[in-house]
Amino acid sequence: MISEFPLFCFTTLAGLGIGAYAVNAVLPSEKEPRRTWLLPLVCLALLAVGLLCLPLHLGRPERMLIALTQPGAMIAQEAYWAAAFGVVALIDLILSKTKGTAPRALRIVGAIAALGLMCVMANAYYVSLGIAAWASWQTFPVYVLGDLAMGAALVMALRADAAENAGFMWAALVLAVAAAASFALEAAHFASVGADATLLIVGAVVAVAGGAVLLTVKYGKLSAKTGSWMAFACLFVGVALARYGFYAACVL
Amino acid sequence: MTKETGSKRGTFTRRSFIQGAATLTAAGMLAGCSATTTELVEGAPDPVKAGQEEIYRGGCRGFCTGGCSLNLHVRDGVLVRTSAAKLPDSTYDRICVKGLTEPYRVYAADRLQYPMRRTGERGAGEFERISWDDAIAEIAETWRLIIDEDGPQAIATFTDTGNNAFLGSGIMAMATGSMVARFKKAFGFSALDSANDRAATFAISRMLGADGICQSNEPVDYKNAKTILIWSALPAVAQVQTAHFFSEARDAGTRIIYIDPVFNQTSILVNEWVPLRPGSDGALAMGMLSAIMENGWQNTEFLKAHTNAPFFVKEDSSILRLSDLGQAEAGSDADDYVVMAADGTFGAASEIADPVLEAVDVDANGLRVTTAYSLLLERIAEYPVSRASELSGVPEEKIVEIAQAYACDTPAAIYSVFGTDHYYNGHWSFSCMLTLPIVTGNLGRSGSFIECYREAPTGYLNIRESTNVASPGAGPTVACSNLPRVLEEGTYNGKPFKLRSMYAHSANFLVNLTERQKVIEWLNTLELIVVADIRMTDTCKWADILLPVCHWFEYEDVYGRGAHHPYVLMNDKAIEPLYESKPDFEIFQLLATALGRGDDFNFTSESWFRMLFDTDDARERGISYESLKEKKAIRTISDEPHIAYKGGRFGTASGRAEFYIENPTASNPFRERWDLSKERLPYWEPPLEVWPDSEIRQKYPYQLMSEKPKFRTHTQWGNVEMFREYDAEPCVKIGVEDASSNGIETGDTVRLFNDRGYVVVKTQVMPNVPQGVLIIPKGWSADDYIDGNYSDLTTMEMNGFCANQPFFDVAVGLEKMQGE
Amino acid sequence: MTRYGMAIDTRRCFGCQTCSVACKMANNLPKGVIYNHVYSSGGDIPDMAEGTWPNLSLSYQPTACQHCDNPSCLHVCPTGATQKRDDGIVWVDPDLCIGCRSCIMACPYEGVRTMIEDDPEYYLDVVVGEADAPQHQRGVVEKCTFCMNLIDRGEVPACMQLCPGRARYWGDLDDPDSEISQAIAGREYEKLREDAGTEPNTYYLI
Repeated sequence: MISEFPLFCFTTLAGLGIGAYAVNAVLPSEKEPRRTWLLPLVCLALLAVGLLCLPLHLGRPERMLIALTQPGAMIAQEAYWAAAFGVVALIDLILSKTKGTAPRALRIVGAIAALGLMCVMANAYYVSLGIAAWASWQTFPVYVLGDLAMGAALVMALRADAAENAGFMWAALVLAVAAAASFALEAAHFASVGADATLLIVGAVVAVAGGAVLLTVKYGKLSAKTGSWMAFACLFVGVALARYGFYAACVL
Repeated sequence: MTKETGSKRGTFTRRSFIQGAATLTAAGMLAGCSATTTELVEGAPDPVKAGQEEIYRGGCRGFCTGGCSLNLHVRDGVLVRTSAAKLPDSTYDRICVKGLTEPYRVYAADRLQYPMRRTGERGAGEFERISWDDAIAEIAETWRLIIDEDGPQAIATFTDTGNNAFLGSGIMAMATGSMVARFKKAFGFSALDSANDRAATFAISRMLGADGICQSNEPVDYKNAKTILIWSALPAVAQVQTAHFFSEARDAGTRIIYIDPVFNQTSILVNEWVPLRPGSDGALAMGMLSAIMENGWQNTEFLKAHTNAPFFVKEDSSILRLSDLGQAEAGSDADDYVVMAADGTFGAASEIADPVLEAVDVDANGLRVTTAYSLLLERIAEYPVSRASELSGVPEEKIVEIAQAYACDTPAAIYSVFGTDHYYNGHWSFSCMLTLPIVTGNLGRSGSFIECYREAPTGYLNIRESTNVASPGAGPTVACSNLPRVLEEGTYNGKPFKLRSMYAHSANFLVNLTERQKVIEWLNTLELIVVADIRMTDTCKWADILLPVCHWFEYEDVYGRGAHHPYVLMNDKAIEPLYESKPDFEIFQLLATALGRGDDFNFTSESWFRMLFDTDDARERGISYESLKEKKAIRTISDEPHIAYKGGRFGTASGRAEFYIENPTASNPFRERWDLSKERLPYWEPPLEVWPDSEIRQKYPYQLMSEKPKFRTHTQWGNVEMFREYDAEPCVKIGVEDASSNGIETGDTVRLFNDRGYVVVKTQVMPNVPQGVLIIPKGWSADDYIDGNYSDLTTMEMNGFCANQPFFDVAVGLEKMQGE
Repeated sequence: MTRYGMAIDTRRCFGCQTCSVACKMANNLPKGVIYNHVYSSGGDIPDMAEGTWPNLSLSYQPTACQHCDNPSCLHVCPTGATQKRDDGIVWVDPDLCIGCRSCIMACPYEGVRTMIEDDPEYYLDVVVGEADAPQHQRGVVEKCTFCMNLIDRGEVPACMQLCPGRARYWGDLDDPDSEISQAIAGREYEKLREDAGTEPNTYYLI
């Protein structure tokens, strides 16, 4: 097990949640789905589970709360943006459950919080001068695009209408390919500093496979339901593999 | 690292010793100890006590020759750290990784805690606890029996460099100034001698006349040299404290050329490194001498006035004297050496200021004589630069360049230690190297020296009184490597010799002597082996009776020999002896008493030193027990930087530097192995096993050299676990070419072997190592090796004339182990 | 303003490890913890040279916390455990450290910081080193403290007490008369990872 396994769990699970929420906020359903509360619940749950993993990477988890005192530090920033996102998602969940819907503006705020959290997560690794493999601009698209790509696939799986929406399909496909491209760029950077890029490349391939699955749904070769879950599986696994490969570069 | 099995420690645990200390506290014997001792064990140190330790002074003295004077910081009766003490001249302040980790040695888990008697096989390390009374009584009883039956010479003491202070082991077999010398003399015991590192002293003694280990200039003088050749030495590892003297000299303009078979960190301190073939030192020196003679770079004035160059050698190899010319009575004071004046007449050397140097086969009162100088030229002619280059591997232009620098960019010096020594041809190589300063006049002045300052005069010691005891006669001193033959023949130097018991202290000879399996053979012929040591070493496991000695800082002593600085150092008792350990000298007192001579050994450390420093010389230098306790470090030699052989006065019979030896005296007693024709002039021949075309190299193609480790002095500090973070296990260093031709990568396991044994270790592939050479660090113990033992591989065969263990003269085969 | 720094003369340092061990002793460092690593230029094996026989060279690089003027570790510490004193010393308050290791990742000087994963273990039953040596805790990050405990009471950092090579200097970089300023004056020097923008304060004199 790599030393950064808890961080891997956190950023992958939480990343999936915030990625899904952001995509859903920017590309909403034309009509409100039956279980509006499902998506915010899933996103919130993913964030919560991810956050539970966080203390596992600390030497002194019992002192975690001191971590909020230095706003400039990346971990503190992650906490703030995650808190902001969590509050919005919770309000969304409550409104969706009780009123059946939540205002789009709220969801956009949540999407901004989500994007902020994605960037801050990536930045935490960008400033890691001690790990040449991480400290480059390619880290940003790996996180942001990866989160959005697997988030989009999850939204497609959870929202019946999304799979039938051509615009959404194309967006998901573009995100999948873009994420795969970012993994490939990162792999090239890794190789240039002597880090093992294998998993990044495998992840890129699997993400492209996810895109291919989306195409087969688009062209009717696969049912929307089956296809979207398959695509999600590919994207999630692809992103997870790429992330695992990313974290494996930390030998400190 | 394989664990040793079967050694019983009894129920005396480390924690018990702290409770033991508590007992002492209650009795008021432990100075500076707090009322409770739980603090000693339960780790959180008290910041309030920061900077409030008691500071004692200790001499760190495993004979690495650094000779560091340390501040010993004691807190609540525990030695918590050491630091470098300030010496009268701060340039000499020093400490290293070893001095810093003394607390790890003091509180090591493998300290011997109480006397023990062997219960299992010799070497198994199985013992049972006995009392001091029983231990001493048993030894004394056995010895009385042996003395009755075969005389005291059947018992031998053996010491080496484990505790290089006066009361500790003195120094090596002679144990000068130590109670063991008195002990040995009082009872007439024999001595066993490790006979190591002897080649340089042997050569210097007869060519320049040195007292002690060697005579060389003090390190503060190094910067006065224009040229220094560091020759087959490893100062950056083995004489760490000289390093800054070299780099400072270099930075001030001295040109330093480093000649050594292996590339290493000494190269950082110098201007240039020149590789040479191992064991070819003498050949290189001869080549340099050729270049010097060809170009007229020799120092004729020095040769005429300060060497025996102008003396005449007769056909019977003796030197011409006035008595041979009928001008004085043979053997009288007036019987001076003879030289030839410019006009061809013979006269006394002391009267002819400008004698002739070259004269071949001339007539002197009917005798055919030739000058020593002409004989030297003949010898040098055997080694033209081209031949020297072939033999040494040093390019011809380089040989000439170095020769010119050494002869002309003067004052020049040669810093050498024991690299040349560790071959069968060691003293021969030195004889050639020593001829270089003799021929160029690079001796006896600031900036010119040979060898390495590692000794101090002992004239201020009352050696006579320290051994002033009634004695049944001196027992012989036998080199360990000669023991198998001596025991088999039953005689030594023409007299019957039998050995039944030995007493070893301050020595780990089961690791440090060559050809370990042969050592075990002769060891097993003895009835009683007594070993006294601080911790459970390999040698301890062969003891029949094992006695616990206290650590250096647990008793008072004075450290005054074998360091490359000019001070005699006080060593305070900083903490109480741990467990039941005692200082060596107290053990000798107990034994002497049990053998009925207690009255002759009635000393405390204080009274011993009062006796030892009771000389005019000491008083003149201000050295006394009191002054040492007060000042901690006192200079033992003249106040200006010490210049060896100042003014060109030498300690030989002629008072001159002698490259021609009239009466070569062997230190190896077997006459049939002497060849005097090799001993009169500088001479060189290849080493025993490691020369590339030697027969044994066809079978075993690699030379196995050993190197000094940074983290140990031989095996001392081998029990500092913390060092394993820097230096995990013994590895053999192999060069890139040899590694590749054997398919070896760093981390692979290999087996090194020859007819004498084998060892299995991991490898490190490094470009530092030349082709055909393998390097293994010395001082690892049996349990450290994956299998086998390095000490089994070396040879006991010493040079026939100069008894000296040839550690580097070892040929081995190499085999990669599969699947490790 | 005092600004502490260190200088290493690489023409004199021959890798004896005295400074590394002095630090380990004075600070009573636990098993596996070394604040000051002395690296060989040829590679991972100690004392390994660079080049091919016989064209070889070797130098050493004692590397500890560089006590940077712009410490990347400080910017990423979420709890403020990593701090910089007025005299320039960067230190970690073990009571505030949560062991997130962001500082280790952010620091471009690999190996100078150590996270003590489990309860610190020692080789001896007795405590060695300074009485006010840093307290070692489980789960926090440690590094060279520039021996602030020693210099605050007027003494010399452990690694500086005696370098056998006479290759180490320390002191106030802002004082032109200090030993370190004089050592650096007129000498060419290198610093580590200047590209990282951390402004390290260890000068390697070449």
